[in-house]
Amino acid sequence: MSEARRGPVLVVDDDADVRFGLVEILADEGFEVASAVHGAEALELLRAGLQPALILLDLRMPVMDGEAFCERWREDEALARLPVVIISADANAVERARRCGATGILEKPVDLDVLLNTVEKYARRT
Amino acid sequence: MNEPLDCRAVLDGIADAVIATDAQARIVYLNDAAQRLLGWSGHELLGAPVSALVLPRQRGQARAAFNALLETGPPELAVNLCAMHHDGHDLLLEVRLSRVRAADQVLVVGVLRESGGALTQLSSTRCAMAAHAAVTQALIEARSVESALPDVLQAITTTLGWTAAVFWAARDEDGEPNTLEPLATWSLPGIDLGRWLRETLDARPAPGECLAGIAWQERSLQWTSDVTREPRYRRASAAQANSLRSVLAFPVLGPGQGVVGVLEFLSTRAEQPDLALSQTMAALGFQLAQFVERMRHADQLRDSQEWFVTTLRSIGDAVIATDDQGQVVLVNPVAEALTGWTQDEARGHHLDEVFRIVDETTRLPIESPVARVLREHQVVTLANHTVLLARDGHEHVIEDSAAPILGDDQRFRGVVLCFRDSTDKARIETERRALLEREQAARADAEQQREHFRELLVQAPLAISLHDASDLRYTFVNPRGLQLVEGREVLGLRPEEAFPELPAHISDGLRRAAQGHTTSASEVHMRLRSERDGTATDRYFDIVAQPLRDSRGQVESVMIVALEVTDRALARQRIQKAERQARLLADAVPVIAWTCDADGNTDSFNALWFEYTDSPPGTLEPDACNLHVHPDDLPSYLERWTHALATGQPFRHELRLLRARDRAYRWHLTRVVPLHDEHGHVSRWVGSATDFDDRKRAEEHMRFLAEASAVLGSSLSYQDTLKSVARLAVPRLADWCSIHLVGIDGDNPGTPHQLVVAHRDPEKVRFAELLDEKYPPDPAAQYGVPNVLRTGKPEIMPDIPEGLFEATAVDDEHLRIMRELNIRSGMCLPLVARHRILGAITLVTSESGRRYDEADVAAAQELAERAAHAIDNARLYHEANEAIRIRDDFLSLASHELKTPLTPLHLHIQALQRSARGLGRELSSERMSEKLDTISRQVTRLENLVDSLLDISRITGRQLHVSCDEADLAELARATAERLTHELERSGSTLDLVTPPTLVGCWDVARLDQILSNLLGNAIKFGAGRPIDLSISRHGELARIVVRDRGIGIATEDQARIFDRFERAVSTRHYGGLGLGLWIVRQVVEALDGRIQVESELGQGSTFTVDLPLDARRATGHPAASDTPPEARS
Repeated sequence: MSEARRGPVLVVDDDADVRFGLVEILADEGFEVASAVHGAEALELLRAGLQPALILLDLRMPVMDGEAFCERWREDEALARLPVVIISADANAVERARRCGATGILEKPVDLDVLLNTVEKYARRT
Repeated sequence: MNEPLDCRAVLDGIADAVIATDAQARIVYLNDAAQRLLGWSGHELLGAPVSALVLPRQRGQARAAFNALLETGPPELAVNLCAMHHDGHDLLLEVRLSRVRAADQVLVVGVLRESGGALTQLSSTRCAMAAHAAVTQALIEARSVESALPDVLQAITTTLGWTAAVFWAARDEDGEPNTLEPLATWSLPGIDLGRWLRETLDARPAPGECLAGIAWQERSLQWTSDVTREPRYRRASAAQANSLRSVLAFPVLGPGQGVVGVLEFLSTRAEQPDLALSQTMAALGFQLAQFVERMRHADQLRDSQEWFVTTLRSIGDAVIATDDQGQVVLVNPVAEALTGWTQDEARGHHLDEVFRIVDETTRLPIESPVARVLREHQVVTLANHTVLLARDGHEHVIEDSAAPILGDDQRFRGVVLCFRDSTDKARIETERRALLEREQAARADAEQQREHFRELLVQAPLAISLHDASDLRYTFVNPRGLQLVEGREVLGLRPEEAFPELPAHISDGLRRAAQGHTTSASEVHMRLRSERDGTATDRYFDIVAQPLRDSRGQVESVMIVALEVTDRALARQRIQKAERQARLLADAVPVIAWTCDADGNTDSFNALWFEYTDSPPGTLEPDACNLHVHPDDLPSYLERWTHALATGQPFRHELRLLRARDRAYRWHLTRVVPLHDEHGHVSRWVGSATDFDDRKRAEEHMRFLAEASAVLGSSLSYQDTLKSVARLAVPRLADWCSIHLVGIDGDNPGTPHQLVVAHRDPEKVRFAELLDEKYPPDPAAQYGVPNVLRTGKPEIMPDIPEGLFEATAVDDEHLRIMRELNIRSGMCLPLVARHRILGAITLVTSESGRRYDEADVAAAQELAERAAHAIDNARLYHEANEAIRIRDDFLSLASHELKTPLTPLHLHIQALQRSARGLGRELSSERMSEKLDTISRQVTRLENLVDSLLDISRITGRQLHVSCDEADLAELARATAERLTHELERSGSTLDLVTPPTLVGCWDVARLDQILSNLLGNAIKFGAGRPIDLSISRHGELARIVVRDRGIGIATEDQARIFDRFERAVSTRHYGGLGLGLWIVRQVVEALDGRIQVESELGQGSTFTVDLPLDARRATGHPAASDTPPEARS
């Protein structure tokens, strides 16, 4: 838990039900939570000064998908330090996450305990 | 001038002797080798029965073999036969006989090989006959035995194959056989018999001594095949020194069975005698003996003639002759009458006993004048008044005289005494009687001569007739002649009367003979009717008409000699017919044939050549090769010829010959074979050329098609493989090849485009591509690619029709270019697979001058078919791949879309579970309710997804059921908007809903909801949070639904396919959903007999418009109508 940092968990998912569900669960578990509808919105938040402890990133999204976001994330030295865990329903999610250079991968539908264990590694509860 | 093709040249060139006979065993052909082997020339044997060549004792065997072969026996037989060489010696032959069926007849072909040297048995009739003939000839020409013998010996020796011969004359002494004296010898020229000959000439064998003596004594043929082992042969060592081995001695028996002499023959070979030889020798001996006897008589006659001449001096008188001792040897009839002694009584008595004379007056014996002649050898003149005392006591007053008889050598041989009854009466009577006897003798002599002549005519083996010189009436016909006329009465008739069939020129010839000219004609044809059975047969005769003259040289009669040669003539005709057949065959066989001299200069062609090259029959073009052989094939052919002429070796070569009829070069297999003369030198060449163009090209086509198939199968990139195939077709199938393809877009044929054009010359390819750009094919054109693509029927033009270019050219420039292409022949074939026209392949010839025929068309069609299948396969493969890809994408998408609502579902349920178990934070009831709402929503979402998937299977399985109920579309629209409020909120879009108060129709409510939900859902999804319009309106009998968003829009090129299954304009990565929405909408709209269309601009949003009939039941032919029971419609 030494790596766990302060700061919100940024949930990036275009599906409102998924996004709201994650935000609600994590908030209920005592995590600070922020959300974005797609990669571009997430980038905006980060450039606006958001310092998340962890980014939970969907892959399939309009405007800017997860892979496009990862490219920017890797290119930007400041951002690259942030852990990114892919959370996806894609059949090839593991492979795609690896190619993106993501820190971790959670396959939808994700188990609540697994989700919490993962988030706890990077983020501290408030 | 062209010579007739020598079809038998090859047979003549065979080293083995070959004889062919017809089914009647008559010789119809024999080659040079056979003529050399047998020594007979062709014209001597052609038409002759083959048995004439076989020894008589083997003819039965030969006939059996021949018959076995002609019947059902094996087609081949091998026999050993002894044949007769022309010069008389025998040949032991191995004969392989085979049966050949040629045209309508059966031939027997024999191949002869000599199995050894000349045979030892000199037994053939042929030899015997030759010997007889030679001996007869020698005897006829001989004047004496002594002069005849050497010729006779030579004749027998040479004809029977001996080396040397001796004639031993038998000498008697005192009536007993005494010694044999060598009267004549003969030996083959060039052989010096030296010592043997000397010993022979010195020998005088007694009866029983030596072989000759034994033959003499035993009166039988004596024989030894090896003199060294024959103690009875005295001169053995001398004979051995001259290599003489066999000896044959046989007696020459005279007519009275007295032995005239012995013939002895010797040979350097070890000969073996047989019965036939014995018979021959006996006959020859008899012939010789007769001659010797005749000569002896002739000698005696000559002697007696001398007597006679002397006696004549005192003709009419009584004559008595004595020998030099005074013994009576002759008493003539007058003397017999006067003396009373017959000659036989008087012979051997002394004259004084027979001729007793006394003086007329004194009655005293007086000296006979003969005594004085004997004493003085001088003529003693008549004494007067002498009285002859006859034996019977009569007395005759006679006048007598005597004279000496002197031979040619003036030797005194005897005395002739003449005397006469001096009374006149007696003398006259005597003279008359003598004259009478002379006349009778002369008459008898003439009769005898005539008899001889008649015998000759009667026995001659020829038909002979005699004719009166004045009117040619038959005066005599010999038996052979009677046989020939077959019972006709001819005597007294003129030839024309006897034989109305007689050709005019023969009648003329007979008249000329009557005028003194010998005339002859050979193989005169007459169709003779037999007087016996009335049958008419064709017969042939050699005829000679010879004038016969009397002593004054006047033509007295005409002799006609006729020899029937029907067999020979018919055989010759058969041969000629066979030769005609052979020539016919040579001309009829589907092979060009020619002959060349030893230097390779062509001197004849068969008929097919002239037909093939369309040159005047019989001509010889000096540059035939250059004119008719393909220029590419000529050098190698000439090279082969040069080599063949240098080495004498045959060769084969494949080349193309120009066929005049269609100016097409066709492949021929040529074979050139040398023929050799008897010295083994090449005398001629025989060439043949077999047209195997069809086969050759079929092979080439097969090879080409195989390669083309390999290329077509090498890759699924059919455009590349078709280009390769087009290049492969040049120049093997065409000088130009182009392929056009029709773009396939659904069921609508697209515009054809030229995929490839191929030619040897890249410059020309570029030119053709420019031409295609400048003058693209007119889709409505009546010729060429557009026509073929339109009709699906091939266009084949072996020759380009007159006026085609003029009819198809766009302008003068186009026409000029088309003409410059110099197109000779062409075809355009559709590429058709599964009844779809995929394109066309065009094959054209120009510079090669090639003209397409059926085989080419077949090959091209095969190519087109294979190319079409390749295209079809490739396209099917791509379609299948695409379908698989889409399916995989869909499955991936479906899985994603199902998992997505499961995520919140799962999380909320687990959160509730944790709360229930007292783990984590406690949830307020409000929170709990929210979670349950979310859970419920996710379940609904999953339900919708599952429904969509079920719809797909229903639609694709044609099981989309549409019900029909009264419903208000306006109300339905409002309800849907209400249901989606939450979604709208989250998307940020607002909805502007415009509806009439009500719009009632007969619809399937669930399906209408599906339409509205999907369109609105799409607008929310792709509306980019901007306002959305939904309007419902009525247009006549149609209800219209318009959904407009102001979102990302759809590109024009994508608008057509967004209604397809699994299709969407945007990447599946970016937008959730199965991509089934619009497809399901379209299917449902169409099921309701409505229409859906879209207007959109990228970035500006999309407007979907759906028109639906107010009453779905009015629509016809859609599933809803058919599902509705008939009574429910009204």
